Amino acid sequence: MRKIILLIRRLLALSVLLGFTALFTGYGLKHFVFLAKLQFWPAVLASSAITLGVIIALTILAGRWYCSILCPLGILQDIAYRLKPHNAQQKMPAKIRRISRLAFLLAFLAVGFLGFGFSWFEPYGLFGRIATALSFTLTAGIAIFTLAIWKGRVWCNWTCPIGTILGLLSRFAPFRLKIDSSKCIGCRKCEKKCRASAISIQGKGGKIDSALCVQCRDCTVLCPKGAIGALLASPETREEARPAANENAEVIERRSFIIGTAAIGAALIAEGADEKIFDGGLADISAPGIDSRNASLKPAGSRSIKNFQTKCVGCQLCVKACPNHVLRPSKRLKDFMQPEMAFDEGYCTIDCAKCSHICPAGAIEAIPSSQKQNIHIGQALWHLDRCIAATEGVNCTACFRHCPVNAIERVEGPAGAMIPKIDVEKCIGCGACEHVCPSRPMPGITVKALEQHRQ
Amino acid sequence: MKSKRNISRREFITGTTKPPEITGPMTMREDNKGNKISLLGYGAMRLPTKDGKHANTWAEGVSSAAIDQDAVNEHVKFALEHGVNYFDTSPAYCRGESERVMGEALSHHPRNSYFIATKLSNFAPQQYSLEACKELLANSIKALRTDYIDFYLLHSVGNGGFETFSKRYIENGAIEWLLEERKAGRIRNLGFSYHGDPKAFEWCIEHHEQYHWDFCQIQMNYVDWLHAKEVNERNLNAKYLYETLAAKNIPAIIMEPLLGGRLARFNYAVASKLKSMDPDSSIASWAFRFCGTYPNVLTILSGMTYKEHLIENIATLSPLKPLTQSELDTLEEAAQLILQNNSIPCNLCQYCMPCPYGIDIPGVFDNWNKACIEDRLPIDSASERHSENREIFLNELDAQIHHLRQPEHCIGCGKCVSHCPQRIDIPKKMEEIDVFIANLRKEARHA
Repeated sequence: MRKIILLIRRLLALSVLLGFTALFTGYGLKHFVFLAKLQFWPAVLASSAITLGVIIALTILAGRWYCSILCPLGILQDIAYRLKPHNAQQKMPAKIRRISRLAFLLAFLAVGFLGFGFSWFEPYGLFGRIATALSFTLTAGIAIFTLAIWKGRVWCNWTCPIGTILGLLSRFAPFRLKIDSSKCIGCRKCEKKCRASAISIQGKGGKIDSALCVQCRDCTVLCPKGAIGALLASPETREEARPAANENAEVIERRSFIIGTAAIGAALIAEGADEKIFDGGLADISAPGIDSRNASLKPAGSRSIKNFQTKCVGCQLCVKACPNHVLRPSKRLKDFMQPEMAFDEGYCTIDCAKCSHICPAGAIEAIPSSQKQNIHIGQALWHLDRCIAATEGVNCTACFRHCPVNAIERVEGPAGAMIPKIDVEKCIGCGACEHVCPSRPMPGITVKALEQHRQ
Repeated sequence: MKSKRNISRREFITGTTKPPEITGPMTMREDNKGNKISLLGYGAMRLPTKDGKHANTWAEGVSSAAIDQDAVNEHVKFALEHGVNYFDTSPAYCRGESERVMGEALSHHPRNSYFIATKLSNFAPQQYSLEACKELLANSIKALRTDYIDFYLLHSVGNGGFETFSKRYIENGAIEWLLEERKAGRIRNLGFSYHGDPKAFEWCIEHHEQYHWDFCQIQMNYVDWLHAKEVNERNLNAKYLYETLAAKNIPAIIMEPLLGGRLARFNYAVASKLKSMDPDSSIASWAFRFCGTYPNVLTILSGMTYKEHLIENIATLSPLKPLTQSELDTLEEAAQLILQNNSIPCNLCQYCMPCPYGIDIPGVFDNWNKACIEDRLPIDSASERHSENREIFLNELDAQIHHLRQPEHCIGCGKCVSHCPQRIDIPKKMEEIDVFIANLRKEARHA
């Protein structure tokens, strides 16, 4: 029976991880997006009562199952832990650990409630960033993975705020794992193997700290006497088993974020091959510069920049899913790694609301794609000193032709050529004009973000 | 012997069942001065590059790819050994590299064993002056490592309208100067290549008594023969051009016998028609034999990027097997089928390039035409293969053309229009394709 439960647990975990892999490699967006919606903190942000209810109930009754079958970062660490045999006793300084857990939980909540986003230590978002190989979080990913090979679930029990919350909930779970002292022979196999350092054996018997136990259930099968289980005939004798006084405190290396700021491609203006002499070849091109906007642009469905920043966990799922390559993670500290819009590779097409349908955290609320044309997320601004129709008198019709809501008219310009005139009532800020504008290094027409999206 | 019916569908569509064999000597034609010229002329507009493309090609990163001089040397040697003795280049070709490369390749062979044709390619207004024209000729002579040019052409007469023609050659006195150069022997034969405004062609023909054109280069193939006007009403049919020249006894040199390769690759219907005549003949061979059938054709130019092209074309014309009337009729039927698909009459000559805003014009058109030829243009959303075709179309587009070089980024400035010898309204086509692609992408997003 124990073996079967363990097998089911492992199979579930593996399929969830595979599902997430498919999700973040872009092959299974349609089929696996439900996994993202089952994540704990995104569900809190999206106020999805059913998901939360199920997870909380499960945790209160049976402990941190969530950590070993639903959390992709946790499953990843379990796999890492299997890479190396573990026979030494796992001793962690409990006091420092408690302080660390509390500190990270408070930091996480503080950063979030101050409006900088709950993205910093949230495990699902972190997994998403690692899975999409976002350069600076890749370092964090390698650190967590390496740590997991040697010491198991260190991240989960020292840092993870969700782990801490679920740990609190599972404290008195009736179906948590327990050691039957009548069967225990004190061989300490379970204690040595425990990836969460949750077991402490004293004499013949011991205690499993359900706040630390991630329900991997390896010990239930490992125990030669079958002394560990969730349903025990005779419960453990020592309720309050204290960890040994002299612990070898180990210094846990903290991962550090290296905040790299990549210089965005040097812009070169298309070589003015005005009067051609030779045939063939291609003029040099450069991507349009990315405008340093008044504020970062957020997709339709976000309601407001503030709403987005409060709810987004930075999992990068929308970045991955955007068919127009408009979304990318911010590099600023205040909304670090939360997606924002840029139009150098495409623009936000009027028929597409994909990101709103996949966001698990409610940062981008689901909108019907037919509604998109009515949601104003930004406002196009024209620049006299950049637009080539004004500066060079080039007969350009790019923005005018591409505006999906016909917000651009052409009027007499200073250099003879027609220049765009923007109808602010019509413009929804989709960025089509900014994307197709040939002016370099910066586009002659750019989108200003609206703090509050308008309908 | 292999049965003529025993060929696979793929062979049937794409090529010959047996490798081309050179069975005899190259057919030679004589011009009015008694020069013996090979019916196949070597065109130096599509020279091979080291990355295995041709030098006028449109692929990303081409600007750094140098022309493969070794391959050109080898091609020229092979061509000369097999009777090809006419080499056509221009100071504008291959981003200005063609003459120099050809000069190097030809310098290994005796000067009297071949004829060089090059052109007064004064397209830019700053080259309109007589001094600039003189400099162009002097540069050509130097680059080609010679003292004289056998065949010198006014390049693309009529392109950009009669006014441009007048500015380039008449008002600046260039034509009078060229007559003197011909007298002095620095130019042995004077002619012109014609594209575009019919007025310029008529003017040149009317002034034949005055200038005594030694030859004229025209675009001729079995589609343009009767249908050039259908493709674009501003064109003249090749039949008219050819017959006008024949009446004046001006030898015709043929360009675009294959329409930039478009007559070498066909959809099932057209290929079936050609293969029904002779399954062993390649698709391209019909185009060469068509031109060669007309006796006033002096030579047929072909830009043969790969040696396989060269061997095949030499084999086709060594010796020429003129077409029978029934074969000509079948080609006319094929031409009518070709006109029925949605292809764009772009021959990838790259005269429009570089687009100052970086658009890959020939690349976009080629991508479109490829879809037409392969019967997979995703134009009919009711078709059961539509979504598959759409995916192929978009994948090919994105794989071959950088997104900033796609039609979406055409600003409609129209600077390319006057350069196109096929007189395609490029900005209009770009806008149409842009809308077409935007719709495909939209469908793909909702699929």
